Amino acid sequence: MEEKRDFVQRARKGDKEAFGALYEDIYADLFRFALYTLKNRQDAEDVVSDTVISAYQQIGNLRDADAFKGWIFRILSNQCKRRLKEYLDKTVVLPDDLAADSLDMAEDSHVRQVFAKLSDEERFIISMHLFAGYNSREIGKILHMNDNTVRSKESRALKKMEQFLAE
Amino acid sequence: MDENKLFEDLKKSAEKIEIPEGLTPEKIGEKLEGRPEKSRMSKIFAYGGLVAAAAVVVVVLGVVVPRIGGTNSGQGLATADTVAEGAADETVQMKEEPSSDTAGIMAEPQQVELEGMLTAAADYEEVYNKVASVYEQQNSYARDMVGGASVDSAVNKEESAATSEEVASDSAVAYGGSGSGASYSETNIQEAGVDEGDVVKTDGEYIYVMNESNGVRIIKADGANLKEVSVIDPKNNVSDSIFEMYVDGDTLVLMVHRLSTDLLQQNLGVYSLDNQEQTCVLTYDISDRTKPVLKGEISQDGYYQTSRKIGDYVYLFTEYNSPNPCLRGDGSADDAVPYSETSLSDGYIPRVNQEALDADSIFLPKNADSGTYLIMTSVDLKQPEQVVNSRAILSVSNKYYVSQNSIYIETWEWNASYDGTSIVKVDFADGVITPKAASTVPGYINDSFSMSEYDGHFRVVTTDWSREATNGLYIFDENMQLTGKVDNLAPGEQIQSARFMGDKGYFVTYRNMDPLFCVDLSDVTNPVVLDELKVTGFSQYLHFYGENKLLGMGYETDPETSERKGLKLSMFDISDLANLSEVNKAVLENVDGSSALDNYKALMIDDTENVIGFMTYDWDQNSGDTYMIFSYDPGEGFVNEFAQAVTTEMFPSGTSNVRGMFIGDTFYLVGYDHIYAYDRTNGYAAVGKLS
Repeated sequence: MEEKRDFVQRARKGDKEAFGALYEDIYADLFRFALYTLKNRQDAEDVVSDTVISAYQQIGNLRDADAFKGWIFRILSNQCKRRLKEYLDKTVVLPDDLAADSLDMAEDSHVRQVFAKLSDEERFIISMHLFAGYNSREIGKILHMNDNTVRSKESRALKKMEQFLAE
Repeated sequence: MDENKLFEDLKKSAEKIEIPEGLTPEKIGEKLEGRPEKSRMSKIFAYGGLVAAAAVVVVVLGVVVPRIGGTNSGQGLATADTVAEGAADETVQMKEEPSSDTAGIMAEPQQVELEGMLTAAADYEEVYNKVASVYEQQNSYARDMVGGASVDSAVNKEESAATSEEVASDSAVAYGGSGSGASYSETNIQEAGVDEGDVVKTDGEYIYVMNESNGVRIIKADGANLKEVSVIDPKNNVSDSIFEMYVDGDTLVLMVHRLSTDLLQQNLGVYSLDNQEQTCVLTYDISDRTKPVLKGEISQDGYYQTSRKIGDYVYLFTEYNSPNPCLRGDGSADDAVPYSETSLSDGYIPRVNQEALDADSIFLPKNADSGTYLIMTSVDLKQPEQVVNSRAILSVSNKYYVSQNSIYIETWEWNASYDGTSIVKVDFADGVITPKAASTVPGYINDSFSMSEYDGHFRVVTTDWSREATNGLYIFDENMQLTGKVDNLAPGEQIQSARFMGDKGYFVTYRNMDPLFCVDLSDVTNPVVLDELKVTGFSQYLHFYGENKLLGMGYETDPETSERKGLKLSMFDISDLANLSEVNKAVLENVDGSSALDNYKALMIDDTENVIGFMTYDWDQNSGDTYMIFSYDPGEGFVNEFAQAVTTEMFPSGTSNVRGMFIGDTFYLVGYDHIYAYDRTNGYAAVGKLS
């Protein structure tokens, strides 16, 4: 923890290596979050890449050195939210890599396919919980909902998944 | 399967995902190499003479509402009656927007041609077949997906629309009233005369406070003396929860979610569990506050979306997912089972008070892509055991704006040929609900404050993301035909807040924090815009405050870096529309936000009493929440009258629904566990507490 705090301090002063070290810890989760939210590999890669650049440029604003992970996920989640909104405007249908991906064991890809059936919002809420480690209150703040609503939506989504899995 | 197991499985499924090469720390490091650091970027912007970043533009539009002489006749609106007479193909017409002409207010960049958007069903079989076709289509997508094809399924589209924005994003204030003579605060609502439910209410004598899982406490509030006189527990079983309440005179109304589980016999000897999710309206007579009496309860299928109360009528909106007719008892999916007598009792047709709606009360979209119904019901509080009227639309819904006469329901438009938002206008009079007309607008609606009805005309502001973000204001007549618009406003920025008053509209746009957009910033002028005012930061909520003043609540930002510097209160002088000014501002540093910005009902505001109260929060959990009250003085600006840390010690069951309110000279911080009283005449000194 102390070490991370150090990295943040150094990164704030423009130390690229320190920033890189912070990034290394979480980039896999950043990508997973983006993929599970957006469902498209290429877009997920793009938003993570944009997020990192944006974070690098803004890290001077980060006051609380312990909050790096939560902070960068907030930037990423805003980017994903915007991307989802853009999807609504697009006529092009992007490949759903999340449902199609069949690189691994059948069981895993089945869970993913079922997850891919959830709504944008449901995937978003669960991904924030799963990959960013946010609690319902923090998710609520990002989505402008109260925490009870977040919890009930999440629980509805999970029930929906169970139903799909049972099909 | 329990939730934790699902989480674990999901997590495991993600661990094996291959992370793209381009995101490895090495590759990203290379990308960063080429990036100027922030300090250098600022210099580049300044040198280039570009106005850097965050200009907030308050645009005042003189809204000219052309007089339209038309009537409803011949507009092709299907009423339940006409359809019942057999005119099954009558439809709610999609109004085609006027074709483009080159200049001025009527220029239309995106021609829409949609007709026959909604049709009242002729019979239950038609409703069932519509639902079945939606699920069959989804079913085929699902099969394709399992087969490995890359299909962005309609399933997802439908469902994302189904969830959409939170209901709480609706509505704002009308204050002041007199119960026992003293003035008291009322729930902040959007539209005068259109009441909205909340978790805390007062009538000037009693405080009513509810929470989701317990019920309502009724508390006699006499200054510092607080005494619980009764508790209402509307739950039938432990899974019930309470959403919101209304209090009007001697009537208290609760919106309650009930989950009932029945054992259904599917075939001989084969049973299944049927979870029926219902939202109920419970009406209590509280003329004796110590003995509330339940006078009536109505129920309807689905999950609570929102509600309104206008006079004696309560309007309830729920969202109901039809069962999947493609599902077989063994869990497999196939073509939908054909319609039969039992389809009615199997939940395919939405129920109100346990009875299926009449077919001609169910409106079907031409291109249904969802098995989700929006159900609308009205209840006369004088006869609270029955419904006045119910209608359903087989469509997902997103945001609701309710005027005194009409409900405007916004849904995302999924039609691939058009980027925009559909708005269905539903009229009501004395509880009778009639889908009336529909139209589409380019772009998306920020929140319910972006919609307004005045003098029979509907006004809406949107942000269109189809190219670069642009913003527009559109005016429709009573038949939802476009009469005028201004668009292409503030390119690159998006609407953050809006408020209408009479024939004036105000909205705030702001550019995203994305630094790329900063470079593209340019000024926009439009002949219809009376004035635009650039100030730092941006308002996420607007509220008229006294004569010719507009309060903005939002964030202060650094104009160069867009960094948020804290919560900001702005007072705009709107007396000279050609010359708006920000006359005062206050910036609360180290404040990350306010629950009032997440839910306007959490704002306590009364310009007569000159109080602006809200809870602030800090992302750093250590410093927690603070309830703050400001007054406003034209000379001194915003004056902080009260600041109280709000902790979980004070409110053990959570601080998220804590509200501030006042009755006469006493201010109360109200949560379900406790209420704290403060003396407004004595520097808000703590004077009492209810445990």
